[in-house]
Amino acid sequence: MGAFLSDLLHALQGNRRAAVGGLILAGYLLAALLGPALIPLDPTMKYAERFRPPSLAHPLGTDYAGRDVLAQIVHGSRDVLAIAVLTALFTTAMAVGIGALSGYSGGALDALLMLLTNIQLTVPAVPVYLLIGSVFQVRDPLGFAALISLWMWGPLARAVRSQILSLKEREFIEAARVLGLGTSHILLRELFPNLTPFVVIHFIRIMRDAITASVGLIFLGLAPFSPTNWGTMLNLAVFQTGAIYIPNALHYVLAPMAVIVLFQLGAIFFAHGLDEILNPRLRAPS
Amino acid sequence: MKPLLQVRDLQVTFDLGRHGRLVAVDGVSFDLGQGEFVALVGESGSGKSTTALALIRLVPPPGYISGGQLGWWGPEGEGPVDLLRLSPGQMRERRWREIAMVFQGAQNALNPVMRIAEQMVETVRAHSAVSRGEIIERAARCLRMVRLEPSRVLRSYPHELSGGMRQRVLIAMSLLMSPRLLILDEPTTALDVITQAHILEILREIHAQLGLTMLLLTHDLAVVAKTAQRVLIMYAGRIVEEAPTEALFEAPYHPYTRGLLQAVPTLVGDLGTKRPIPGAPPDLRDPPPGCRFHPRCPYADARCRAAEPALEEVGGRRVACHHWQRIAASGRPG
Amino acid sequence: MRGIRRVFLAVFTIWLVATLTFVVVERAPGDVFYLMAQEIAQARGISIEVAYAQVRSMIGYDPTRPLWDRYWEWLGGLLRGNLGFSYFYRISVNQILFQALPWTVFVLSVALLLSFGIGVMLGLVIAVRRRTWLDPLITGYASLTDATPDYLTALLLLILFALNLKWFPSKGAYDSSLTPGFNLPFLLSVFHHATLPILAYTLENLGAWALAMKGSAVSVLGEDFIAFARARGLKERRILTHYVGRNAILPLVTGLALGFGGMFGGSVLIETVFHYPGIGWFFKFALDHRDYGMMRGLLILTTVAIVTANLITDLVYPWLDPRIRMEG
Repeated sequence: MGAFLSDLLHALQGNRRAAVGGLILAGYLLAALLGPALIPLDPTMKYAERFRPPSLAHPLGTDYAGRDVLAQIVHGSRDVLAIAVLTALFTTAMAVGIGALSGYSGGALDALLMLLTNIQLTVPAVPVYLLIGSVFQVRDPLGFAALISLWMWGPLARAVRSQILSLKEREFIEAARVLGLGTSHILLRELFPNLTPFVVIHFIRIMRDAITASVGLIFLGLAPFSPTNWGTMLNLAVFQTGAIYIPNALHYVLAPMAVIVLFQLGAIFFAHGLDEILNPRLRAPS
Repeated sequence: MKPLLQVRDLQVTFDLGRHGRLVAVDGVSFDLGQGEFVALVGESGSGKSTTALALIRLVPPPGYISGGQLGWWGPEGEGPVDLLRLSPGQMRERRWREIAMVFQGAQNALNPVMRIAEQMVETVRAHSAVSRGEIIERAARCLRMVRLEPSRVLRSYPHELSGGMRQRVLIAMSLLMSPRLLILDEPTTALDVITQAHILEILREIHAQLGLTMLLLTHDLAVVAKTAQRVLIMYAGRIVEEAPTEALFEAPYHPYTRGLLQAVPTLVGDLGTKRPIPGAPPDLRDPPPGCRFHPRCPYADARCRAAEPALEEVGGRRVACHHWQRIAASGRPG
Repeated sequence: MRGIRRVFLAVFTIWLVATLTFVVVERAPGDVFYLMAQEIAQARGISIEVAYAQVRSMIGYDPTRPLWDRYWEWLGGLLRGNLGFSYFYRISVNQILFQALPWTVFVLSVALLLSFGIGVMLGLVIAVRRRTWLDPLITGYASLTDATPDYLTALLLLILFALNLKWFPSKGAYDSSLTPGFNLPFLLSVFHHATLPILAYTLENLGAWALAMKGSAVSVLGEDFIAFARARGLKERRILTHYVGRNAILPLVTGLALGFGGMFGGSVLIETVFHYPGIGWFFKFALDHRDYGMMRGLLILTTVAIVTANLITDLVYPWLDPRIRMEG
């Protein structure tokens, strides 16, 4: 893993797109880790300063109760990123587990797991989240991440399975088997290291999808546990305070939208660049 | 014999960007007379397919025709017009109507989602307004000529036919517009020996019946022996020898031709006599100096390494070798 | 053989989703029905016990009966097309859902056809004309829409075209002053109201279809049958449509059902943004009123709709690709 990271950093220098994406993601990470300490969140309501346009004191203006929008975005990023990272961890663990088991075992177990994967891919996620999330009353990022990972592992599981199937055919696995090394050894020492770059790219995709899903669900009004989550901000702007009807309040609606799109773009660039670095086959042969 | 096609100094270049450029066909000249059956022989990579594609101006990018003329005579001996000077539209009209070409890799040459009948119909319709019934009738005649059962084949999809049947469908399709030149690129490769023989016989029959000109591309001199009247030998983008078939088999003048003949398994002799030419064709991005064949040639000397031999006329034949007299004197190999 | 397996898979999917939702809703914390009984008791001035008995008989729910019995009864109802009971409206959800479903299916079908049709054409064009300004433009557009969640696209359209420019209405499926039926003013009103939702889905999915088609078409362009079609003197236009297009579209057709499913899932957010009274809007309504019964019915209906779309694709595909037809 260490060697992989240093190789990665080296390769990033050569790929501009991946570098730009990586910088954007690093910026969000810094904002989530250090931002709340640097920009304090003042919850007092000052209706006289409601929906002020962006200024030096309030770079992103103020909300319906005269509070700083930038501070809410920065504080919200912690919540949003926590859900994204936790979801990606849970989902990756589930997907790699299911995919590896399916691809390695074959037979009836493989058929059953692929049937479940098929069903996960067929039934749309948002309604599933809404039903389960409202019955079980999700209350924190951890629960939210668990909820989302419940219905997101399909694509990666399927991809891991086909990777395992193709890796199984390669010589070094054959060699390990001929040498009489055990199944767990083959999985841990031979198969998983070969999957690492591939899983990293999916990890980033899952983070993106987790942000889209979690912000969307909170925007809809499911589990409004954090007052600064970008989804809560959108929910307030659209359903509660009528901010979307007020031309002066446009900045308040656009701010959370812009940070979501920028994060997604960063993740797309980074994942795409990584793909180019890690899969030289994709590069144009010209 | 009336002339049909006169190829002069044809040159095809592939621009490979940062991987350099290569001249796949380098100053090729030859003539085809009306009604002739000529074979163009060479290993894969010799430039024979590229030459053929250049004749119908369909060299795939990044390749392009970088020089030469293609003089083309009309049916009454009028002309010639240079095919390279026609507009793309004029050239498209001449494809299939005047020059048809059956590609190598016939297994995938047909549209997998259309029935054979539709592909026959659209081929004719691209060139003339003929009724569907008439086209089907014509297609049936052509299919019978290649000994296929029209009623069955016409309503089939390509994947429902065997490899040999597909190859024959392509030949039948090439006859639809009664072209004056039919180019066949490796028509028997990838087929079993019996199907091969069958197709060669069909080709001979078609040539005898319709009197069209045929240019057969192959790497296999055994195929040539059964079909062509005249042979062109191509090596590393150049013509190295040309001779009537019988004369060529009797006494090759070029060491490469001699090598090819040695590589032909004789049906009577035992298989042990088959000796492939050692080495591989040169990298055309950086061809060897002097004669391009010298690294593989048993007769090569200092002169061959320094100076490239010209393609000389010698008694109704052509050859490009410094030592052709010595080789000719040694007669038929094997 | 293949067909039977597909149908089995479809039925199995619906059964599994139905069973899981049954279990989830049965496990709902707190007795929702007791709350309902309290409400009824207050409204009608009757005792809580009487109200509770009424609720139980009304919806056939009796917590004292074994879970197993209730499950079979519920599954039996489902087989007869009864999707369950709305806790809020206190009627079968069928009535609500079959009113809402056509709106969603209408908007999604139009949007799917539009985004697929335009995307496929654009993808074909940029596959053939590689070095033009159109290729980077469409690739960039696809990245941007990929980065923008569909509900944000919808929100932007709503703010710009409905609330600020006021070109399109911001709620409803048609002007309520008109009589629904087959008359021109009503139909125009329906399209007027559906424009923004359709546009939201279309803009969101267009780029992805274009890129998928480009990739597929580029690989088809390298096939022997393209070169052979040129050698036969076919016109470029025909080669583009009947050879490149027709073959390149095949792998995309299987993605159509998946795309439909994805849009169906997104309809909760999009219909909520536009106050469009389809399946998704009722889902949000059920969420706001903790109407688990309606949510359960909606989820099952959504699954049925998507599974049906999958089956239709499976039926249509062999008709498009004769190589599949053979296997039967």
